[in-house]
Amino acid sequence: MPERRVRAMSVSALWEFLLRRRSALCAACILCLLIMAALAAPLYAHVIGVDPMESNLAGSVMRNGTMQDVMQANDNPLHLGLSPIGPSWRWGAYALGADSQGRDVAARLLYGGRSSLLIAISAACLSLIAATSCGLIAGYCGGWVDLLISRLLDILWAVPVYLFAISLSVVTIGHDLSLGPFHLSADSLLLPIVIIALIYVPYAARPIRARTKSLSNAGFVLAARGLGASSWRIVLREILPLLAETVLVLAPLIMALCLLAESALSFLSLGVQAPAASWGSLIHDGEGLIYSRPVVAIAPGLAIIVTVLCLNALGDAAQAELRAKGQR
Amino acid sequence: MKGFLSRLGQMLLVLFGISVLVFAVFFATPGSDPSARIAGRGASPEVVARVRHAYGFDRALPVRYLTMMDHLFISRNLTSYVNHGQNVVEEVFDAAPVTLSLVAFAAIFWVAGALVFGLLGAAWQGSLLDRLISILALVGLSMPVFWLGEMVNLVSQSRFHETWLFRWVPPLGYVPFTTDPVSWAKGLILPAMTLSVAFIGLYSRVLRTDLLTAMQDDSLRTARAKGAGPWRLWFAHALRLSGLSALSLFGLDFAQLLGGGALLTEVVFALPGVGHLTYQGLSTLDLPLIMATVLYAAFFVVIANALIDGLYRLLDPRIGRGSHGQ
Amino acid sequence: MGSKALLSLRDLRLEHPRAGVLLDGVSLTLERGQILGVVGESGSGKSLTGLSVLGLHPAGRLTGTMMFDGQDLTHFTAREWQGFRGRRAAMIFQDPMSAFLPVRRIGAQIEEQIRLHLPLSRREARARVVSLLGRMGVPSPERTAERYPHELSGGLRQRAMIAMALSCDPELLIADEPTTALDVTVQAQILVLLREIGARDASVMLITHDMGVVAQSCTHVAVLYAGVVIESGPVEAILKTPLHPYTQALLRAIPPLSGPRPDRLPVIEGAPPAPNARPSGCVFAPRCASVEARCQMRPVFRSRGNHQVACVLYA
Repeated sequence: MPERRVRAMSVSALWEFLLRRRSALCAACILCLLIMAALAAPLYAHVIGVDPMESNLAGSVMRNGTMQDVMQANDNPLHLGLSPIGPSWRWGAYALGADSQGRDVAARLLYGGRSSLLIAISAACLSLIAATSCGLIAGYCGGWVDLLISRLLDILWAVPVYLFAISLSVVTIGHDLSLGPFHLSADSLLLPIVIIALIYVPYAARPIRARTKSLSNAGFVLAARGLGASSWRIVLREILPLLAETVLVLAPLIMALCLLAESALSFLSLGVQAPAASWGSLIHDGEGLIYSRPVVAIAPGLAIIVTVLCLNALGDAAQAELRAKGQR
Repeated sequence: MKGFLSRLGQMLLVLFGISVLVFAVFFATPGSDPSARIAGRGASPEVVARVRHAYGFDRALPVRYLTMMDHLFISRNLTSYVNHGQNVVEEVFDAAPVTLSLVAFAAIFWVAGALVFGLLGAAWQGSLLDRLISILALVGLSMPVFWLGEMVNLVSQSRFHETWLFRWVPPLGYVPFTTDPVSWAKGLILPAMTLSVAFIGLYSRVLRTDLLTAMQDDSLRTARAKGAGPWRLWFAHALRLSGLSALSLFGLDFAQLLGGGALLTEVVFALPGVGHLTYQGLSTLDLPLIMATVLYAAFFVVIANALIDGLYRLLDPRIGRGSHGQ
Repeated sequence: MGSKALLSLRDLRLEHPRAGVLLDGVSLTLERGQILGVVGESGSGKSLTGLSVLGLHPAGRLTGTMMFDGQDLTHFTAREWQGFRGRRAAMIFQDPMSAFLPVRRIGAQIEEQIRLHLPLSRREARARVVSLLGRMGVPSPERTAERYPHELSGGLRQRAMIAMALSCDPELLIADEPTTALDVTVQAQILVLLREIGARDASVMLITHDMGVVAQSCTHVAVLYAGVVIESGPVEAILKTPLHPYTQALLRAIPPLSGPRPDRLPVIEGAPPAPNARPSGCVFAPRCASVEARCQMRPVFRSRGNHQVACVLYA
């Protein structure tokens, strides 16, 4: 039973994996940096001395030794309207310029990272927990239970994911919600988390179900059953530890999908609600300034790409590792 | 024939499931009361009650479900809650050609791109080119499509619009094929490319892996022993063997895009397709419109799946073919 | 040597960067009209020998000579290999199910090979396919050509495989365990077919692990052990008077057809050496009963009577 050895899922195993796959190590480092930067958002705002949630149309900022208005007269020939201050190479407030409300883009980027990463991570965890339960029950029980769960997942799968997420968001987000004893305020992050988690359940549940099915016919499970182990014991002690691998490999990929979904929802103003920011809603804010101050939209987009790229690279490396393990 | 009927039954079952699901999302989600939304913020309870009665929200859920389905699919006269009198079904059918054009264009780009990059990566496995392609594919896969669309707009509509590279780009929007085929195509090229980037990334990776697996297959060894050259090996044998799984994936994605997956692209490029219509419905909370688009979307998905399934059976003789053969 | 050899391998060595030395001195000769059985345990390099003759061996350093009808195959370019494979030498594989492309009709796959090598029209090629299938004893060849591989029985698939191999009149047919994946009754039919082909169409190199198959259908035999040909010669001579201790042990391990059944068959102690741990001397020495000091040196492969053998006992 060589498969039993896989149980040793420890921090040291993870560390060895990172050392073995250099791309994974790189990706993990960048992700850590991003998370740390996001966590440091309030610190940054404090040091720079701006409030990233408060509009600051009349404010001014010290730059190149002179005080400049955050909202400046347009440089078009007619000097009509105001456009926010642009980015500068100097460290300090408004390093990435201001958005149309006169808010510091750099600070909002960090705060946006907080919500984006928080939503992506929690949604991925929630989704994987739900998917593992579904897949485990369907794969282990088989029969009509399997049929019912599989059909339900098929139905969920047939609806385009973004459309499904958008529909759910429309009916739930933007107003206070009371579910029995729970009360959710309109700006709670819980709703986007639950919605995004829900739409990716079928994505993860299918491979988990398939793996459970093959595991529950494996020799050692049959042996355990022959020894009179209860179903609970078999599922929890024999199958679940081996399933952990499949789930862990899926985790970064699901997280990447969740981050993209979150940004799409927020871009449509259906995720994180203003004045709070997420990378998606920052791109939405930048949409109106795209021709005059493109950096407002470019910066959060790059942040998304880097994060998703790292997550995908991590998932790739984990998958390659798993495949190599299977060959050994 | 029996197999066909059972598939048809399954299709109908999935469609029924989707319609119930969508209906439940909009009308039975706890805490969301459509009449309160229609009546507006701060409306008095009497107004809400009146709205509830006028729209039939006080009837039992199954009855409302059946009425809705009747309006959608049988009498096809479901009207908007927002623009009174506007037939929602008609609107969906007017928007469908836009989405179809966009997605068809995108599919051409994405199949061609995936073939080129997948084959190059597989044929020169492990080379610098292969690594470059796989990194590019990963980047493409990681880009939010709406952001890419904005960047494309920034470059082609504003910053570099005057250069020779982008002078041909028409302003955002859609020109019907029947009005002017050339403008129709011009207006769709950049949106379709934007839409296809992520798919090129995904499919070239899938294709590369599948091709390399196929190259290890016994039948490819036979082909080599027959004296087949490299072109024939890659195209006539490896691609034939591995294209099947990519095809079923393609069908699913194509259908999802037709069914509203292209929403973000349509919004960014101001294309009045089904996705854009959904978006409009969302911003005005026009539930019948959303119901109609989502259900027709699901309908597309299911139909396209069935079509791909049939095509798959045609191309892979090992499955199906219950009628003749052994 | 009577007529000029069709294929002669001299001291063929194949070294793989990771797996080690896969072939370690393969020397054999195949004359026109012969059926040469290449026998050995799994891992002895017998399939690899067949594959190298078509240039299909895994990448690695190949040394030695492979002469085919006066041409040295080791210097072939990719383009020359393309014209050679399927045209002058063809191969049939162990499992005809996986060897055919599952998604194309049998007829089309045979036709492909014909049209790769011969200037025939589609119609002429199709006629040739049908006549070939008929010659291989396939019932209703026109209909069979329209079938997919999975729709045929194992025996019919292998016949179709042989038809494909013979489609361009090759001079050499390499059959890699052609009967292993088949039912016993079908095995006998395929062996009869191969014997006919050897007598009529092409020289045959029959790769097998089964001495019984060799006895039934071959004219000559080469015994491989751990990547080395240790003995070769005409079938009767080898079966009657095996010289190499390994061949002797191998033949002793076959249960006798007549007489009382032995309580237990003699076995050769130990296991063949792995490709990355081959002894520098005689490869069989670690398991040999009559091992002596001279076995530290690799014995030369030399003629003795009508045999050729690599063993110090006969130096």
